[in-house]
Amino acid sequence: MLSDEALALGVQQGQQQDLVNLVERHHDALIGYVYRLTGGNRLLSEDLVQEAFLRVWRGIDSYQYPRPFKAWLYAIATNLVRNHMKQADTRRTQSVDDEVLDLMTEPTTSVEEGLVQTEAAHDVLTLLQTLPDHQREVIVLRYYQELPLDQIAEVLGIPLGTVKSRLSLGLRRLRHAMEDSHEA
Amino acid sequence: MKPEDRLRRLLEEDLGSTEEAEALFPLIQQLRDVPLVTTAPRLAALVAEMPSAPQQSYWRQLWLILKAQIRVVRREIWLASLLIMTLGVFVTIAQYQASSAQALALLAPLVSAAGVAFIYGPVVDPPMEILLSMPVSPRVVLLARLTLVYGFNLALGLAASVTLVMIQSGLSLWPLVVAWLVPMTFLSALAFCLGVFTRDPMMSALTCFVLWVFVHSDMAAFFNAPDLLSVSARPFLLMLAAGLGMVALWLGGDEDWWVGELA
Repeated sequence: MLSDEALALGVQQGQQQDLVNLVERHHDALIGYVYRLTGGNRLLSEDLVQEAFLRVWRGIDSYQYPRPFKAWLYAIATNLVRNHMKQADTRRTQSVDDEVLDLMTEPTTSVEEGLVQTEAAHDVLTLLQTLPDHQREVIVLRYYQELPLDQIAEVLGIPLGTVKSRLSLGLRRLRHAMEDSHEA
Repeated sequence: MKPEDRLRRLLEEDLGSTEEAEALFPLIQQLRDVPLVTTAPRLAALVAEMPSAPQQSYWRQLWLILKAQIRVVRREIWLASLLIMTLGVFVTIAQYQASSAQALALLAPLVSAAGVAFIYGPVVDPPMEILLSMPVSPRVVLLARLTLVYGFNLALGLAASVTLVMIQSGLSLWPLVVAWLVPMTFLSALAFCLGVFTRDPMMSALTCFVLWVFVHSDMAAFFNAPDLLSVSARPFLLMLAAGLGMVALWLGGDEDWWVGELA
């Protein structure tokens, strides 16, 4: 199987099928990442991921082979999420509502299961939203994407030490938020 | 290794404590398990139908970065530079002495330094979140702003010099340009470095002003300070300017330094 970087090189040389392969390979994981950053807004996540792939396609010339394609793609998606968050304060408005509806209407899920799942998803995404954007990004990249610290540094364009400090501060903050929510 | 075990190990690695990792494990696992339906095949089909990607040249990207920074650089800088440089031309003409253009050589470095001092700092930049969302690094942004402000003053200085040479036949272009260009480069680099280091544009501009007045006054001779305006000092000033500029870019390109906090 061709590496991401080889596929990206193919896209640079005009091979559109390579882009399709890259999309199929990364779409699910990327949408999961964006979904968690946006507080559980599925439609928004799909839009942003689509835009991210469009930017990959438009700006493929600026990709520098053989640097990790995944880091480049995630950096683009992260910037899109950040820009969106600044442009419209939609973080807490649409968030999990779409997902609640989806799960409630999911034919394979019973109403009770749907509610339990939705409540758990709602809780964890709400807790995640209490973090500053830069800490949330590091935590999702680390524990959802399971990216190594050095790749997170590359995605976010920050030093390794900053990744570590953001991770540590974010986890500490998350733990406090979790304890506070339990007490409440 | 099971996904749960892998997650536990990651948490333990990052937190350095099994107890803390166990406390956070359920929450982080829930975060991973948030349900989601995706649409990759549909998107892949859309991509397959897209026309060929437009090619964007390196120069166009550079232009876009510069254009974006024109909007961020304070408008007063352009106007003040233009006015003061014009004033310098008039004063030079009024006080003309053969082979001397004191006013322009005095004002051009100051104007440029004052402008450059204001390209960085909390009072100049948008809030941290906006800054961090920029698609290019802080270092490129700083370099773009420096290029704009310094380049603008350089262009003004050249225009002023050409004007003076055309009006005063006793003046030669090259000696006139060098007389202000080297000090301007040095003082701008100093203002840039001080601005980044202190995050206080006013302090940076004032320090350059005081230094410049000192260099031009009798005090420099009184304190037996080296003559920074002499021809022999020019290579040294240029090297110092390059060093200061690199330090400022290195420091100012660091995201944590820029936002003024350790994340």
